[in-house]
Amino acid sequence: MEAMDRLMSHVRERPVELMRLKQEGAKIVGYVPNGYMPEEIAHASGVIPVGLIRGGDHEPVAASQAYLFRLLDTFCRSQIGYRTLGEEPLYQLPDLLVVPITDRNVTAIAESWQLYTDVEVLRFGVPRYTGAEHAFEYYVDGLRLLKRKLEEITGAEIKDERLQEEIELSNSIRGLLEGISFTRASERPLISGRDFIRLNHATYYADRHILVSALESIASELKKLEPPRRAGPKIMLVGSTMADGDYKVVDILEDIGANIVIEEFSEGVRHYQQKVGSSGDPIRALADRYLRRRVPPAIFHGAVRDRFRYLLELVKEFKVDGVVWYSLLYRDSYDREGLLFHEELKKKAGIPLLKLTSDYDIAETGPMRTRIETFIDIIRQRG
Amino acid sequence: MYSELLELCGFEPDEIEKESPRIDKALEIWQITTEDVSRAEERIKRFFDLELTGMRKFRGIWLKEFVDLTLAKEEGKKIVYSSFPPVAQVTGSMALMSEEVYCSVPEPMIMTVMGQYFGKLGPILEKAEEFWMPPGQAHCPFLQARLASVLVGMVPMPDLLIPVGLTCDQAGKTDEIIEYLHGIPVAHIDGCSDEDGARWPHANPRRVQYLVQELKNVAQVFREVIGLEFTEETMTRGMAEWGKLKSIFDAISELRGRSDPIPLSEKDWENICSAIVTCAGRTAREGVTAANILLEELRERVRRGVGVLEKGAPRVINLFPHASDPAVTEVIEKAGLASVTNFISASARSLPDEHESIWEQLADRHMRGGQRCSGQLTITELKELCHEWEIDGVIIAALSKCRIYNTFPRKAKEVLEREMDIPVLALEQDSVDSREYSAERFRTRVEPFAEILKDRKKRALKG
Repeated sequence: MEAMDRLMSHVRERPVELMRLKQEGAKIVGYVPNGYMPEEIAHASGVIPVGLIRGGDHEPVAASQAYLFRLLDTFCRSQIGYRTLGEEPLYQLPDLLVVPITDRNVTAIAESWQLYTDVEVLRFGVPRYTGAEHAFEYYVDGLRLLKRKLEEITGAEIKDERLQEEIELSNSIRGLLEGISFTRASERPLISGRDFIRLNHATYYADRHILVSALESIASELKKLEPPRRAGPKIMLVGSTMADGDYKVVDILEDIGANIVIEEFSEGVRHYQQKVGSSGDPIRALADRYLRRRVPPAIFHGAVRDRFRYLLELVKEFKVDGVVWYSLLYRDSYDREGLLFHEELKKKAGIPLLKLTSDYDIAETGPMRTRIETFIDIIRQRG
Repeated sequence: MYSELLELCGFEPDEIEKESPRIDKALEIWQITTEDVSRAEERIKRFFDLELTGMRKFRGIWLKEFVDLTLAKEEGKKIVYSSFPPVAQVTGSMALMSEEVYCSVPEPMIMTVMGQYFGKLGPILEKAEEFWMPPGQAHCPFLQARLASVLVGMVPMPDLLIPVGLTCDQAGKTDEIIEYLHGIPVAHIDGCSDEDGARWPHANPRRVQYLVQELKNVAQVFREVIGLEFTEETMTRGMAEWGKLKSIFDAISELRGRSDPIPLSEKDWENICSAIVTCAGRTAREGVTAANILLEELRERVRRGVGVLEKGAPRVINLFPHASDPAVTEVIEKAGLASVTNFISASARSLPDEHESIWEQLADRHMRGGQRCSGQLTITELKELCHEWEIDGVIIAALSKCRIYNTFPRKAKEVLEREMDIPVLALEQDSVDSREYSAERFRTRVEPFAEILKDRKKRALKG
């Protein structure tokens, strides 16, 4: 797809472009991509938000040992490594790092940057509830703190009208992503899981106008494409973090002919199904979308119930043949939830689940390939 | 079978007679054998102070708590479990409010009795590994013990679970497994780890207010599930009882930490610290007497210049004392280091109350302290402790499976060594699960560290 190639070329060049913009005076705000940082507020303030979503590399994990003990989630550990190694341009750019705190692993990103870099860190708590009123108000308050901080950085007030424009633009990006993603619900998917995940990752730092134009073109190109003659087993990929660059499992699955038709990750893969409401106070509308209406991460109270229901709906809607649960080492809540979901899936959907764990170690690839190949063979044999 | 064990735990003859049937039942449920009892007797003689009546009484309280926990359902109680570390005043108040209610924190009881005394924690953790907390993923052993003991039926299925997420974010997830499998209601006490430190050592008011709402929510769920009103008055009464124990605890802490030679081993002191944090019914009811006896005995030791280590031993902070195995702390003391205090004595916790409502007072108190705030403020607090307690060295070597212990130790080492010239031994170690550490390996790290501290102290004295 031509538009896809164009977008990927833009994404490749984007870090250098951002460096130039920073030299010209632009303020860059990095954030942890766990779905609780409404970029709309940052865009409306005039700063450039950049999701720090790199992962999958061993070197930053090894580098993190100088700062952190090891028993933390791999992605969260690697984030300080990406910064201190100095090789990843996006990680050298932030004037401010925003960390919406969901759990102790994410807290480690905030703390390691606070303790070991000169980048200012703003952390605001995300209550682990979606229902309680005081939790909602706490999150709203956190967003107001973020808004004030951004206003302080730019010296300009964020007007509601401007915020509303950014909400509309974000909603249209979500809508385009949803449209593209849901073509995978068809018998023979038109876009691979690998391409969709790369597209999703691009939304974290691409120029938004280029992004919208590319997504529109991709959506229209997909309509003209002939479906492939055959489709492989349909796989749902679920886990804690799917970082930009952590494509080992995705590559193995699709290289052996499986189709990743849907994914649900708490970090790294943008949620696009829920849109921000357009009436009332835009900050409260953002809080409603970001806290209440997205599927909660595993650490949230009641997540087992809410997430299982949601995941089982996806299994049905996308006619999933098997689930690959991909969590990172020491992300305790996902480890536990994966094992429980295995039971639930057997009972309620009768399909198999493969649980994989990664520490971004190159030596994992061989054994992982063997396990994935066997899993796909089992699915094929089930017919 | 266990009369010597009970004597070592300060039981009076009439108590032995009265409690024996209950103890029999409880030990049977935990599958304690004669061999286990002999091991417990040996371990108590090896690790703990046998001369102090106050300490014997505290061991007795732990054993009674353990029996109460095991038999609570059979004895017709409505059962509430909070998680570790709890909001002790809430646990204590619930435990004291009615004979119909049993409220406690199972994990420290299991750690203390099954771990420290019986040396038999491993099989419980292995059970947890069959219940969605597998090995190799660094799951917290406290929570493994909690989950396994409930699911296996060693402790009775509760009526209500109150996981506390102020430092630990995983207790709630563990309890949700029990909720998912058995439909037990869960009322969370949670907080957000986003302290900005602007009002340090006080907590940010928005965090305090959040916790107030959480506590009120728990009171409401408690009423719905247990059928009793948990009011401000209940809390006030409970806090007053807890306060009595806390004031004696503070006096012992001061006496112990300021005296040279140090009059009480950290192996024993941990039993007291853990009791004050856990604060279930027995501790609240019998702890004051035991603590008063202990305080007097320690005063006497200080008057006589008697200590458990040589006078002039280097003074250290052992940041997270052993929970399940005193052999770890024994290594520190055998190397000649006096572990004088830890975070439980941090002054931020004793600041005067700024609030009128009991809920706000409680919330404010529980939001203070470095570990409830950030890595940076944990280091700030550690520096304050070092200064306040004239510390020669710091050991950070425990429970790295608790995620908060993974973020600040390396920086703490750098800061304390550079800014205060205080050596720090920072080890990535989980000294709770005895299958994963060895006190002997720990010894090889602690002994050279101790020699460095002793040498520095000698040279400082020579001027």
